Amino acid sequence: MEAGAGEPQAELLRRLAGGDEEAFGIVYRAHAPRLYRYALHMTGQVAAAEEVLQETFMVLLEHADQYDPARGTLEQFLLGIARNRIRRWLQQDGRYVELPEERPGEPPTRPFPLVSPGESEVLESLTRDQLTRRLWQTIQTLPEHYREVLVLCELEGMEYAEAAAALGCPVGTVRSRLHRARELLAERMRSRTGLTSSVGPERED
Amino acid sequence: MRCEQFAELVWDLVRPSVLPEELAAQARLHAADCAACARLLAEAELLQFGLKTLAQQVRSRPLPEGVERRLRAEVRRRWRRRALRRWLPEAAFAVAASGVLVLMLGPAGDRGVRDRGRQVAAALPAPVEQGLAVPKNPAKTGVTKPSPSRPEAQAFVLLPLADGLRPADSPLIVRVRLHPDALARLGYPTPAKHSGELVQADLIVGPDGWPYAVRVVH
Repeated sequence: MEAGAGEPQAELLRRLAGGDEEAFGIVYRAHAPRLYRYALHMTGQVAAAEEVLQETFMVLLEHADQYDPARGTLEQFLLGIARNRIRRWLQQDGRYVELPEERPGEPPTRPFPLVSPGESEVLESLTRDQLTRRLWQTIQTLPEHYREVLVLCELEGMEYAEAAAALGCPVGTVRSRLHRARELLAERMRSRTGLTSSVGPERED
Repeated sequence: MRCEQFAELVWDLVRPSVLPEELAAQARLHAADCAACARLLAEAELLQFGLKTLAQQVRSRPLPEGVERRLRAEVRRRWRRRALRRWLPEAAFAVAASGVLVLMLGPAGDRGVRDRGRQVAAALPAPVEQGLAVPKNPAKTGVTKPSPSRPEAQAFVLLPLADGLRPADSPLIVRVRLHPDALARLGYPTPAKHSGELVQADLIVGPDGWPYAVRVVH
């Protein structure tokens, strides 16, 4: 998903810094969809995701000259900006309360947060499929560092190495966080829904 | 294979082409004989299915309307601001230098300014009249004797945004009446103390609607 495959990213950004609107359009169309989805999954709210998307590109306009191709791709650079914005949003916004990490085998100790208006807007736009709705809600309850690897690897289909580069951590860390994120997701889905018995596609058992 | 091992790799088992075939086959064989691991595998398959469905649904959401438009406007605004910052010192210097030259050369300098005005105006279309009598050929404006019916114009003074002005841009000259303060805001040198009466001026307007140069018409 790199911008302007035929044109180096640094050249695109140089044009962008010079006020080239066409260069901006190329960068935006190449990167905005994934950034928006990432923000949507991480914040759980349409308005917040839109805000994060806009702010990410505003930072790019302001600091396009700080992008160094030797340190990573433009996508990683933009994801890094988006992560900072999301983190700030999560810290400032009182609607989100992060649940403590449970130990394996122990049930969650707190009730799940209520669905906020923004979240329900997203859910309304999804199909009525019970599994998908509950998954969406449950993903929002995961701690941030687990949620982001789950979003990047499972929902955005990134390879471990890609996610590691985007998050600025070793591949092993991504692998272990993802494993723990899946376990937590399964535990919480199990405790909420009785996972295997009540929802999901028909399977041969 | 032991249950602990199975639990470690069950998530990779449900993702296509992650585990080596042999290891995947061993794991499935173990699940076939172990009820607890079979249940674990079923859960993992179900969650994998749900995550895939969720990803597809969110992927089909359109980008929010208006964000790209707002950002494009911001790109334009920043470019204009940068252009202004780049040209302000040079424009100020040019205006100051012009003033010094006019003072030094006196009437000859005045003729020089008028000549430059004629050169600039000759390359431009006729001004759009705003309820005023304007000569059809502004190139002749500077050489005719000033009279109430034939106003005399000074040379055009480039404004800071004149950077982008090219002949191909088909600029337009618009004759307007302005307050001296408005002229000053455009970057045109006006005396600190003025009568406050409206001043008649020609503006060269670019295709984007921005004024690029101004001259006062007496």
